[in-house]
Amino acid sequence: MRARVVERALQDRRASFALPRGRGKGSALVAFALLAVLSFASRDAAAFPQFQFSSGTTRCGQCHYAPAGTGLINEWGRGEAGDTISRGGDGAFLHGLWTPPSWVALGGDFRLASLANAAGGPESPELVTFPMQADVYAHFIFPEGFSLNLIVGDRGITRPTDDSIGGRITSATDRFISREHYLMWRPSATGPYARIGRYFPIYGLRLVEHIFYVRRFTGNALYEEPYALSGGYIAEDWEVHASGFTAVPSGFPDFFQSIGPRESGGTAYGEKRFAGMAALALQGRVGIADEEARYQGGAVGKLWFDPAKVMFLGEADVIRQQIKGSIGQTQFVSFTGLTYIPIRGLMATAAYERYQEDLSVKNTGHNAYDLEINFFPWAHIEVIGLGRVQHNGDGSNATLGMLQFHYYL
Amino acid sequence: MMFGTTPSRRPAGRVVSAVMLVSLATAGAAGCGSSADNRPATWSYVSTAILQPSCATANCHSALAQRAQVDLSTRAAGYHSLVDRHFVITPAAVTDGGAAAVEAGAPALLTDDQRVERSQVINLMHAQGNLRMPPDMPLPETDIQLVEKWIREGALNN
Repeated sequence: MRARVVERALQDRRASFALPRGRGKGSALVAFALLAVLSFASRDAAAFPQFQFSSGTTRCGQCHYAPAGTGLINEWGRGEAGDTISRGGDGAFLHGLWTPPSWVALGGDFRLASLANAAGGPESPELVTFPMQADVYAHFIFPEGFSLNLIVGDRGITRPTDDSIGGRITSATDRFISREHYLMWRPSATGPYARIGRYFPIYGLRLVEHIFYVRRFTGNALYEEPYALSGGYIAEDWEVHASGFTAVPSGFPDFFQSIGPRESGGTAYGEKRFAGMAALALQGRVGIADEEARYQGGAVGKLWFDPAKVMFLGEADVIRQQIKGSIGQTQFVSFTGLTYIPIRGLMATAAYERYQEDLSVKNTGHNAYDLEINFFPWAHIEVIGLGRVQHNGDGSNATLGMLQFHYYL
Repeated sequence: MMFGTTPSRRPAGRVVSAVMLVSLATAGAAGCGSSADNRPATWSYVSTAILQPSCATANCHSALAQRAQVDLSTRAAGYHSLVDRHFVITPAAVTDGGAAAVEAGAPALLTDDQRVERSQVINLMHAQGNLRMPPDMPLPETDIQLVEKWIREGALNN
């Protein structure tokens, strides 16, 4: 009974967002022209945890093909993109100019960014403009709930390649990468699912920005996707996920390679949702590598407070890092954010982050204060402003200002 | 813009309490730790606990990127990158072409403090003469002092 009431309320909320569709075809040409000036580079596939509840959807998997969000959005998600997320337009592939056949869903993400980073030194602040992301997505649909999911793109390079410095990345082709490729069985939106391949096992808030501590230090850093085998169950007001994973074999070509400790291990994540407005999750992860072992656990919380149009997001993890041939240390990493959605298409998030490298040693903590503005003037288009100040223990401060232009197909 | 009515308030109190607990935990632990740093100044610790998570990132000194041909993703690769290429001056360093070592003169004659001062990796961490490393998240001075201690004690592969 309560579920029906919740669903009706959510439908009402969505209806109140709706604007006329089909006005985006003109902007498609403008967007494609902008795309033409972007060279290829890659970023990361993630999602906006803020859209859970606030957009009228209660499960991340409602808008994404992946069971708990991230990556390509589905038909429902594309509808949301036009109806509730942005100021208007048609969220369909190619703005609805062409519809792919029923056996495949396609998409893409393209980003251009400018940043000013002040961390100290004669070259500070750095001023850089760079292509941040160019990823294309394909979701091939097979009978009986099976699908093949691919992301192919080009790794982003913040600082331009300099022959005098050198490195392994010298051309665009050196940067080609497939961050995700997996086979999935998901016969329905709710119920059991399984998948195998390369992707991030479900853990944490799954924020878009990979620089946030809760992504960087919990095994979810940029290009850290392992090979995994996962299973789970998704219900209307709860979901559980469990994964076993292993590092990308070192012999694989760069196209498949990842970064980070070459760990094997597992993750577990369980989320309970309340009244279509809140979620609380518990999570754990174990990763064993040649040089270290990491045992971590934590909690994730979200609360959408409708009258104030405010969402609280929080994540806290404790990590025990056991270093082979040396001692161990206990770490702490967290994110506390408050998102305000004053009008449709505009979102402001203020956040405090904490990462302490070793809880037993004073002055090894990093604090970050973030302010991010996301503006969605039209379906497929997003403009992002991010300001970040970091205090790094008893060391130097660092400030970052970033402006991004994001277009998705 | 109008949102619909929140369907049920009763569980909200419990949810808010739970979420606030997470929030408090999140904000907590801010001032943890002792002022004494008893961490070992060994390469196995310095590499795994400090350099790999801070420096071996996607576009910098991971095995995948190896910017400036420096790979800090493993202990072996990191030691080779820093010591064999003279970003760190060891007592046994020889002036075989490494610019830093040539500048350092005869490392065996240098004091421990001079080897620290002339080790390029320390200068980069202090933003002396170059962009600070790592540029996205500077290291706490406590960590830099541990790296200095490791160099002062011979920069051994231990």
